[in-house]
Amino acid sequence: MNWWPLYYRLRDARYGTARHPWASLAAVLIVALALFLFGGFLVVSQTLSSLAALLEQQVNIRAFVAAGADADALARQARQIQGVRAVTVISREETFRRLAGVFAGRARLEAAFPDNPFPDSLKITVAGPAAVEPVVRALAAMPGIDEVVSGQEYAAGLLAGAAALRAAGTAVSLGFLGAAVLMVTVTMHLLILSRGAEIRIQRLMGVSDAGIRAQFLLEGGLLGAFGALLAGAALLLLVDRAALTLARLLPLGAVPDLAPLPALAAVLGTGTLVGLGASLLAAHLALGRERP
Amino acid sequence: MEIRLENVVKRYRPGDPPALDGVTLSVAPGEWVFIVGPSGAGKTTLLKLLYAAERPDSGRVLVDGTDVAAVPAFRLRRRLGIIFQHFELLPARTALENVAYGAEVLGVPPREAAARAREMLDLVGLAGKMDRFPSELSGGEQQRVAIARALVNRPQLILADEPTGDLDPENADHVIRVLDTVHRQWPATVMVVTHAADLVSRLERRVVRLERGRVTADYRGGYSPPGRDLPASGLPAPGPAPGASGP
Repeated sequence: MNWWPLYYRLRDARYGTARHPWASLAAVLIVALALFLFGGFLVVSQTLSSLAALLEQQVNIRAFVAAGADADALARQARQIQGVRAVTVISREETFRRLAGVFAGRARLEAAFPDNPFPDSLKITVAGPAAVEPVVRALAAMPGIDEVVSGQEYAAGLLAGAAALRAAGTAVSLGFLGAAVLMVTVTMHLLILSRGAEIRIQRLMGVSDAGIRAQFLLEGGLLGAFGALLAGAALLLLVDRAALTLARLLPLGAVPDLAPLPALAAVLGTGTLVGLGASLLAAHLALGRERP
Repeated sequence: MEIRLENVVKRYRPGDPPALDGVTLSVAPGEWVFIVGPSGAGKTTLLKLLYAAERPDSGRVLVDGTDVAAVPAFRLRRRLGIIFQHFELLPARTALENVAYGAEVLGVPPREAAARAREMLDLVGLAGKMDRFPSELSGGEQQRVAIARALVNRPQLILADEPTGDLDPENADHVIRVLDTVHRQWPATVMVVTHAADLVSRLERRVVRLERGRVTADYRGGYSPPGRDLPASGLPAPGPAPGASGP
């Protein structure tokens, strides 16, 4: 296999982009921005979906006891509901103690709430995810129960949020990706026009049109890939920060696994495709009219 | 490389007078032919048909027995060396790099491309100026670099379109001598389109005269056909000449 053509093409790509460094940089940055938004939306909607899935798998239900009601009696009653595996009473003091543990300034919390505002609650574990909904209904119907909270309630909201975000993200990302394609096309068009002499010589020496186009496909692909690498690095940073924040904020102790690899792969692939597509378009526009 | 044109007609636009009007011509392998005639006679069109930059409307153009319409242009051009009036050198590359580029674009390894380029620059008399940029060379030297690049892949057919058009008489003479030297060392067929009457007359090679798209003379000797004394341009249409055939 003769690898020299690839060597020459990479060398010429370096010469070519060096001739229009600002246009090349602008193309890389717009691709990076578009892909960062695209990847960001992907990661967030993916995270929301996996969080929803996680919450749907939760078998714990929290029932808050109305003021004045007997928590132990309600716990005994709850144990009789079909599908319930265990019931634990969590006193209002225990809830306050747990919450205080989350905050560093416990003294300030106690000062802010001298009279513990939390109710007693029941922590109910059910046999499986399928049992959550009927048990929630039965608990909500029990006198003395003020409010019932389950992970599945959050999951429905999150799924709706993820769907809305995915739709909005797709629209915004498509807009930015379109701008990126345009920018790379303009840059590649400039690069091709500035190399008219090389192209004429190549044609006269017997380089095929496909060979000439391959040069610019390579350069466009590289511009797209560089933009994608920048976007990928920014995305990794974002995911790292987001994981820490989510761990602090999420209810019921559920922390989704933020796996950015699929999004990163999508970003890298899309970036390269944007570059290839744009340079194909630019080559078609510029070389279609070229004559030796 | 043998060349044959069989009753070739070429029009650039329908309704326009033909650029070539029923041209029939044969060139033997290793032969040197000057194509002469006034501006607009069809000389450049004839060369363009040979390197497949244009296609004939009718008739056939055969290079080494193969109809050029039947093969991809790039395959044909790999066996050709094409030289223009404007040198088409890359300003940011040295003479050596410009010549080597002609080999590199076809995937020749860098060391071999450089060796071939040195050999060709030596052949055209520029061994001492290999590291000069085009802006540091005279017009004649730049044209010799362009010739070296056209020769770097050892073409079997050399097509030169007004190679001395931009040069003063001294440099023009030097460039034609370089082509002559190459032709003596190398069994390539050479076709040179030119208006340089004195150069044509001095070399005493085969001359094909085109006027209004037709071959009007085909003879061996000077710029003017035997028995006629013609200027380099703006000719009246003469009668058919021996050895030539038109419609």
